[in-house]
Amino acid sequence: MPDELVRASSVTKIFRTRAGEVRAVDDVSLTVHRGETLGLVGESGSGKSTMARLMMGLQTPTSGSVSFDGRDLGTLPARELRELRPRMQMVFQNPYGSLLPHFSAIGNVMEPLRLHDRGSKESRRAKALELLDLVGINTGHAELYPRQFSGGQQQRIAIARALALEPDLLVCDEPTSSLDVSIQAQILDLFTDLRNRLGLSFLFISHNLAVVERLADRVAVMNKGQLVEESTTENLFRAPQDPYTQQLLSAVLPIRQD
Amino acid sequence: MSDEALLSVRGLRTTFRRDGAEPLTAVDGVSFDVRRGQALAIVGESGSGKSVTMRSVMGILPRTARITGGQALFGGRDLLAIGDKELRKVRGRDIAMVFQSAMEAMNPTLTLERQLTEHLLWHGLCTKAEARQRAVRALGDVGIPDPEKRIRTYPFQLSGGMRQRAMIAMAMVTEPALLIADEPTTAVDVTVQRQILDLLAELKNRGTGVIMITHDLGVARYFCDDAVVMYAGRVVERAPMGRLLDDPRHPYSVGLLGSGVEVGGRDLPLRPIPGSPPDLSRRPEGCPFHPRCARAELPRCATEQEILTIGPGRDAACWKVAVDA
Amino acid sequence: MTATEGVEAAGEAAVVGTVGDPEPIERGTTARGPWARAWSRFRKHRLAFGSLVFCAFLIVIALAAPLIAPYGYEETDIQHKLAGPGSAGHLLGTDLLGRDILSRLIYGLQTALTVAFGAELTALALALAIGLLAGYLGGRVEQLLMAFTDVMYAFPSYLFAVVMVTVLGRSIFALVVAIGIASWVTQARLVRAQVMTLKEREYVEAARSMGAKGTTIAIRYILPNAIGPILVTTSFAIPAAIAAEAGLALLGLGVQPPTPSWGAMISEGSRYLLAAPHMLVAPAVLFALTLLAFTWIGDGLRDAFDPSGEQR
Repeated sequence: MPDELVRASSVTKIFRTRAGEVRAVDDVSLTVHRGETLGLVGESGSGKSTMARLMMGLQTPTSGSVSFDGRDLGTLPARELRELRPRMQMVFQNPYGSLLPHFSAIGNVMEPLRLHDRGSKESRRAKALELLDLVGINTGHAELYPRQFSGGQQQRIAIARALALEPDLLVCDEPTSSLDVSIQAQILDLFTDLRNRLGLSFLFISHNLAVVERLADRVAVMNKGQLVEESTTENLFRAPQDPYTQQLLSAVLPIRQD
Repeated sequence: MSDEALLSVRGLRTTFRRDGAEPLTAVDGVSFDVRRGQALAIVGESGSGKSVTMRSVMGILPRTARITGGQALFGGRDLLAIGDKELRKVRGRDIAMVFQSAMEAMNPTLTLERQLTEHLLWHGLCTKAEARQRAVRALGDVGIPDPEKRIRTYPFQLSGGMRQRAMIAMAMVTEPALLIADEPTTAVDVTVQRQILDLLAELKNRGTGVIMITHDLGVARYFCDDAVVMYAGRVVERAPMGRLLDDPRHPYSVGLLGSGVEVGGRDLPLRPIPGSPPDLSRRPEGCPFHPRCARAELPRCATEQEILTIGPGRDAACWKVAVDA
Repeated sequence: MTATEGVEAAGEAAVVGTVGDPEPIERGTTARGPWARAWSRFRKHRLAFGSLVFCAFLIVIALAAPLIAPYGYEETDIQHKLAGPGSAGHLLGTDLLGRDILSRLIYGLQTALTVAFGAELTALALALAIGLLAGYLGGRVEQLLMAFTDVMYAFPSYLFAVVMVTVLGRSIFALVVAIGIASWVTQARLVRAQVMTLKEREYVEAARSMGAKGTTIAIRYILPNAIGPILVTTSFAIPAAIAAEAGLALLGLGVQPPTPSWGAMISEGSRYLLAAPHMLVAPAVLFALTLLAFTWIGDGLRDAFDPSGEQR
C-alpha cells in the first residue's frame, strides 16, 4: 500500500458571496500518494482550483479535513503550518503574474530560500543557479527580470522557484494553459523529466484532458464541486463510468485521424 | 473551383511604431483567399501575426500600427485603400468579426436588443420595427431559447456559452458575407465548444465565408476546410485541413503537430520544437523558422524564402520541402 | 493574445534563448527591472526631464543659499529701498525695506522647499502606513481606518492648518505638520486602492504558498509595486504644499518674518503693485515656474509608470 502524502477527507468549502452561498467544493475525498501524479480535471466552475488550494492548506475547508503526511492541517498552529509549507509548492497558471516583477529571475528563485533561512546568501545563490540550469534557463540570464523572458521561460523560472525548497508535492494549477502549444510541449517534457529525476509527487490540475492523460497516473474528475469519478488514467480514458466523464471525453476534438 | 474569392489578401504588410527603435514588422507579406461557404483556418502561435492580419483587413488596428503594403480585395474594392469612412460601412455589415471573449466584446450596459438592433439601424438596413424582428430571429438562429424574452437581457445575465452565441448573433444579424472568428471557442468550456462550432458550420453551409483564427488544431480540424499556417508574420504553409494535419510538410507545421498532445496519444513521443518563437524586433535573416529548424541548411535558409507550390492546393515556404515534393 | 498584447510582448521582451537553443546570443542583454524601464520612459519625456533638471537646480540653490545669495535676507538698505531691477548691486531690485529681492527669493526658496518636502514626507508616511494597513488587513481595521480618513477628508484643510499654526506657533515645524496632516488623505486612499489591487496578484498567493508572513508580503512584495502611482501624486502634492504655504502666508499665518516666504513676498508685493511692480512680479513668476516644473515632473512620472493603462 503506497504511502499517502496528502489526504482530503469529505472536504466541503462554502463561500459566502453577495449572491448567496456558493458550494465550491462539495464533500470531496481525494488522496495523493507518494511518487504518484494525480490529475484533477474539470471545466470552469468545477471547483478543481479551490480543491487544490484546500489540499495545500492555503484555504481552510468549511467542513472535513486535510492531512499532509499524517498531520491534520486544520489543527496545526500557524507556525507549524508555515514550517510545513516548503514540502508542498505550487506552480500557477499565469507565469508572469506568479513571479515578483521587481526581483530578477535568480532573485525570485532565491526568495523562498531566504524566507526559510536556508543557508547563506552565497549558498542560496549557488542553489538558485543550479535550479535555473535544471529547468533549462541559461544561467547567463539570471539577473534579467521576468518581463524580459518569454512566457515559457517565465514558467520555467516559476518551476525552479517551486523546487527551491525541495518539496515532496508539486501542485500545478493549469500550468500550461496560457502557453503556446509548442511551448506547452517543452514544459510537459520538463515536468516528466523532473518527476523522474527528483521523484516528486504531483497534483496536476487542468481542463485539458490530453495533457492530463499524458502526465497522470490516476485521474479524478470534478463537476460543480463534486467528485464524479476517480480511476487510473488508463481506465478513465478507455472506459469512463460516469455520464459526465463520458460527455467530457466525447467533446474532445481529435487532431489526427487514425 | 470556379468560385471567385470572397476575400483576397495579397502581400499584406503591417508594422508597429516603437519609441526609439525601428518599427516592428508584425505581418510580413501575407496572402490568402477565402471563398463563399468556405471555412479557412489561420493557424499560428503568439507572434505569428494571425490576429494582426485580420485586424489589418478590418481596419481595427491600434494607433501605433501602420499598414505598409498589400491589398485586401473584397467585393471588387481594396479594403486597405478605401479609407476609414467607407470601411466602416463594410465593417459590421458585409464583414463581421467575433472575438474570443464575449464579455469584452459586448457592451455590458446595453441589452441584447439594443446591441443587435444598433447594428442594423446604423447601417440603415431597415426600420426600427423590422430591426427588432430581425434581432429576435438572429437570436433564435443561434440557438438561444426563448429569444423574444431573452432579447431584453444584459450580457452578464447569460452563461458563457449563451454569451458567445449572442455575440455570433450580433455578428450575423446584418447577414454578412464573411465572418471572421478570432479564437471563438478558447474561452468556452469544452462541452459547449462543439455546439458553437456546429453553429458556425450551419452559417457556413448557408454560404457565409468564415475565417477562423485559432491555435487549437482540434478545433480547426473539426470545423475548417482549409488552413494557412503563420509563423513570425509570414505564411509558411497552405493546405487543405485534413492534409495539413495528417501530412504536414513545412518543418514548422511538422513541429507544431509533433508538439500537440492528444487524448489517446499518451504513448506517442512528444517532440517539442526547441527554442522560442522569434523576437519580432530581431528577425532572423531569411526564413524566420530556420534557427529552430532541424533541417536548416545555411546559407540557403538564411536567404529570403518564397512560397512554392508543392502539390495540388498545397504551398509551403521552404525550398527543401519543394525539393522533396 | 490580442494584437497589441502580442506585439507588446514581442517588442518589449528581449526574448533570450534557453539552454540548447540553436539561436546564438550575440550580445548580452542588460537586466532591466521595472524601475529601470520607468526611468527610461521618463527620460523620453523632454518636458518632464527638463523640469527634473530645473528642480534639481532649485534644490541645489536652496541648499547653497548662504553661499549664493548676494545679501542676507534681512539686510536692509533703506537708501535704496523700492529700487527697480538692475539698480546698483540688486539684480532684481529691492523691497520696501531695501532688502535685496533676489536674496529673499533664494532664501524663500529654501523655506518653500523645506516646508513642501517636509509636509509631503509627513503626509506620505501617514498615507503609506494607513493605506497599507487598511488595504492589506481589510476587515474591521480597514473600516476603522477608512472611517477616520473620511472624517479627516471632511475637515476643511485650510481651517485645520490655521488651527495647527495657532496652536503650534508660526514655525517651519508647525507649517510642515499642518500642511502634512491636511494632505495625507487622498494619498492614503490611493495607497489602499493600490494595495487592494495588488493583493489579488498571483505572486501574492505564490508568496503565501511559500510560507511568507503577512508583513513580508505587504512590505517586500506589495509596497514596491504600489509606489509608482503614489510617486505621481507626491510630485503633484509638492506644488500644492508650496501653494498652501504661500496661501497661509497671505493670511498672515506663514513663517514668522523676517524668514522670507514667497507667499509673504507676493502679499507685500501686491500692496506695492503700482509703485514697485517688480516686488510682485519676481516672486510670482518664480512661484509659477516652480509649480509648473513639479507638475510636469508629475506628468512624466505618470506616463513612466503607466504608459497606456497597462497596469500589469
